[in-house]
Amino acid sequence: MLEIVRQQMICIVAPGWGGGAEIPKQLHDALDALLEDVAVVHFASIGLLPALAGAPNQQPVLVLELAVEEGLRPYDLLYRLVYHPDGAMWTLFGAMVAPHVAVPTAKDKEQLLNQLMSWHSIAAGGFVGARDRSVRQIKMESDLLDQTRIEARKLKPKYSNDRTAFALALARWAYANPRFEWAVKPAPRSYWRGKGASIGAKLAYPVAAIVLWFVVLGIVWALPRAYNWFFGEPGHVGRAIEDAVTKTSECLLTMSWHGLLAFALIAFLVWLFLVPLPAQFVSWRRWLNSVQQELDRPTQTLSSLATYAGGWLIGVPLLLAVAACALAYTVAPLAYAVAPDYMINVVEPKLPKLTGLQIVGIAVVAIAAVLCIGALFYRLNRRFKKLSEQFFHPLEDDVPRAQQIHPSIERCEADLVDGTQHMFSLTELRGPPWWSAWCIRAALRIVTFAGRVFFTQGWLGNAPGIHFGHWHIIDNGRRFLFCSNYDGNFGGYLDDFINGAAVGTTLAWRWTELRPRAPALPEQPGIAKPRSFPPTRFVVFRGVKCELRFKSYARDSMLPHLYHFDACNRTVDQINLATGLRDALFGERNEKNDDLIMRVIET
Amino acid sequence: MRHAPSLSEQSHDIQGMLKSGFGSLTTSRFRLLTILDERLAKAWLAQLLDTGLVASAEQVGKPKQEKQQKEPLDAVVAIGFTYSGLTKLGCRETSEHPFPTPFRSGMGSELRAKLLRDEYRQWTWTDREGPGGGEVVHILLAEWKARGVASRLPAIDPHVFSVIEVGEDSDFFDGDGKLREPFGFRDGLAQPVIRGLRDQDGESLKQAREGARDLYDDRVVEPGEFILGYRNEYDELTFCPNVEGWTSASGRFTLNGSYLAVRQFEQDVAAFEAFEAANADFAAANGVSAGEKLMGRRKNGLPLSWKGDPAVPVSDSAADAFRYRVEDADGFMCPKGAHVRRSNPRDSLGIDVQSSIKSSKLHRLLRRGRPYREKSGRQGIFFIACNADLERQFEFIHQRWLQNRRFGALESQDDPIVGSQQCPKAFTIPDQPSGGEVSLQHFTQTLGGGYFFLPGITALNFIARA
Repeated sequence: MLEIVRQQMICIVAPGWGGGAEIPKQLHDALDALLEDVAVVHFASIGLLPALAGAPNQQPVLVLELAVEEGLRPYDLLYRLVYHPDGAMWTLFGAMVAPHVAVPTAKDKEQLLNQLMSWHSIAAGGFVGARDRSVRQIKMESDLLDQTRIEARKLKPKYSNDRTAFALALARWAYANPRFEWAVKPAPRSYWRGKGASIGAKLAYPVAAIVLWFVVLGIVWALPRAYNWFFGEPGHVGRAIEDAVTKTSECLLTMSWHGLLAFALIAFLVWLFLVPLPAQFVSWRRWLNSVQQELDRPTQTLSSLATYAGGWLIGVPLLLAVAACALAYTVAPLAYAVAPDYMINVVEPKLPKLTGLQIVGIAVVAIAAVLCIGALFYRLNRRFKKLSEQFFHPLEDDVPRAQQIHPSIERCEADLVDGTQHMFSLTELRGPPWWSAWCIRAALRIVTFAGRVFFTQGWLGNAPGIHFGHWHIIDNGRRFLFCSNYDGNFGGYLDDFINGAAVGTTLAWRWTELRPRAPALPEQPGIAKPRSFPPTRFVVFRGVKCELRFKSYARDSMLPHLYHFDACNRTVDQINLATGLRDALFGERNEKNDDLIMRVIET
Repeated sequence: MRHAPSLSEQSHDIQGMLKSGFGSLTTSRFRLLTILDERLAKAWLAQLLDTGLVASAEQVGKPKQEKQQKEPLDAVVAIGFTYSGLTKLGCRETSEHPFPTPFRSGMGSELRAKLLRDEYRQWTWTDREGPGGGEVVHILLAEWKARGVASRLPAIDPHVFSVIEVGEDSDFFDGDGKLREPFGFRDGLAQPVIRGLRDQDGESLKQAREGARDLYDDRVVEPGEFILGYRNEYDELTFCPNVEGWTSASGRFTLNGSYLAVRQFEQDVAAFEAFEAANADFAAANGVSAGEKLMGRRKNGLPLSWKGDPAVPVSDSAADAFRYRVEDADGFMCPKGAHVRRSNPRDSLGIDVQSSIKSSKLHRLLRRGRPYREKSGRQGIFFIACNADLERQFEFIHQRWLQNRRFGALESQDDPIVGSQQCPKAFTIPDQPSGGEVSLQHFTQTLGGGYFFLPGITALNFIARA
């Protein structure tokens, strides 16, 4: 499932660029024509990366980023591009494959295709906003939107006071118009945004997986008995097999129940402390918010340092203890199966014998104690105001060279100010690269999964306006490339990340750093001083919340684009609006659809 | 580990305009100076500082009782410098803490013209050479006075400064002491309140809270959004650039300062009145004029969604206590593209009310401009916006909200009042069952613009005397 998303975002990383810092006009136009003609590419951009330190070829590395339609394999895409009669791909890459060949032969093209396949990298993870639609679909729905607005202007004097009749007239016009025959079918969407969009569908899969697991165990347990029923009493070997299968399946069944119960209990406790208790107790809610605020605080305070220390001294051991209890409870059946005597004679006497009522009583007292601690801290802060002010007052902080932007980056932003913005960011993996790469891949798979299944309305968390955001681990796991196409401006985009998708962004970038590097070419940005990603707390806190450090880190990691292609130039909102109009015009005539049509035609 | 400076202990060093809009000083005049002689310019600055006209936040915006005990200020001056002005006066930024790129690059530059989406510029003044032309200025001198008070500014020698005067001594306050801009709208209502530096020259805190009901916190913004060196809405200390030779132990050169985004707008009152007259039917049918729909507020300052009797006067705090998302999501009252809704979308753009309010607080401006009038009759607004991060505040609002033709779900429409799109252009007024459009001409023209740095008073002394 994630492969479908990852294949939508490809980077071709080609070392040995011998050209300059500008794409010639002729090639620019040829690339536009090519990408327009193949009609499967949403966005394409070209940038130059500085050569990797220590690489034999110190010429810049050319990156061609392609954000394409869903369901297209990289080979199919590259085949279409390479074998297109215009030959723009040869003009771009030919010199890096076979120098001095102006007109490629079939063999040259095959060589180019193979080379591009070896240079290509699908995203290690990414997010696709509203681009589960095809390029053609977006264009056609935009046309429907424009034409409906034109028609609405004509019909308005006749229906200005009757919403239902007005909407019906527009729907009739759309139905009768052969230009929009294609729109009669409901707008095609990816599975999780269409049929699988409901919460019920999303819950059904994990529930079905659990039920299936238990059914499989039941079948395995029943198989030897079914055999005996069919063929009569087994021999020694058969009995041994039956015994082993029974014991193993029973043990797995009990472990599964235990695991499920432990998971449910932990989920219940998490829900209890994060949802109903904060709703019921103001002091607990404020204390909880305050703990999160302290862990996220960009500028240190005594309170944030104390909370961090408290987290290590109390929070982490407590969570580890809960996890250890859950694990012990889950694997206990295995221990009883492997060493029953040891468990009964040695372990059991050491365990406290508690009745259910006692356990419930202890749990209630523990919860009450936790609530009281929260309330106590809250009241202490209010009681000792002067001390509190000092405790929460920021400590001196120094963020060097903040709010600096390289002119080439600003120039790129200015060029795209009326369209979809684009960014390239290049950082290096820190620490042992294999470990960082493993962590990043794991984090990015989670982000990709969440984006694919849950954040299906074009928002990543609370961050709007992202068309494609993708990360690539390149150069054998040494460098990390981030590419994004988004609505808005760069600063606002990062603000959305900080406020709306802080955890995912921190997870994606926290294992990287900036090392000194020379510019790929003169007039391009380089890195003068090394620096780490803004410091995090407990992996997911702080990080991107340090606005100055994060923006400065992101800004300094950026590289300008030499070429940018946008097939549709529509915002995420416009794309969603056009699809909504299509479904409303050709869907049921009801108040919701009528109102959506009325709102859409106003502008 | 040392604590960062505390705002309450630094108000003596913060220029007064960051605390107060000087509502009781009804006359204003703005001058733009170009330095011709650096040495004499410094001497003049020192002279200005000696007059005591550059008031600190500690001296202004006090409660009425306190004012009665002491002699109230009858004239105040604020002074800001462009990047080239600071350079001219010998301030060199340090390599570790340089000024932010937008300030260094200047509003007048070609790059910023593109980023700010100013389609066409023909400026009389600017902060840096660029496509709009205009004289490059170095200093902004803003003067507020009580009616009838003579200026105590030291004489400005034409051999030291070339001066552009923006209007005469202008007074746009009506008989009730309320400021109205040339189109006739109440001005200066939706101001953020700086946490820990509230202007007390008006309603008391209790009155303001009562007026705003439970929406008072929507307007309270952390000081670091406007004053450098303090905690901002991200809970982080705002970046303070520094200059060579600055030795103060309490903080860097820019501590207690702010950036000013300044634009001089000329307002075409005749065109606006003609627009209102042409749409008189709309006003008769809706009880709200088409001009009020463009602005997004009634002329008396009440929101268009006001449910009470609009003729009954209410406090400024109550008039500014409203949101959009719940009561006016579709813009039936205040159109989605109206000027005030674009410049401060309040709770309307995010995923829910709380996150939208939080997010909109990252893009607030403290407006300290005033209307102006020239002898020739030309009038307009000299817009001054104080902010601590030009890119995140002024430039973001200008580029993404005011000049964005795809703002919200709109199509090919920029701001109806200050947008630079070619005219005639359309403006959507949503309504039931479906709204309509009106055609607009340009009602304003930008005559000049620049970024200025408003230093703290110690830094001002450093500039003048170091």
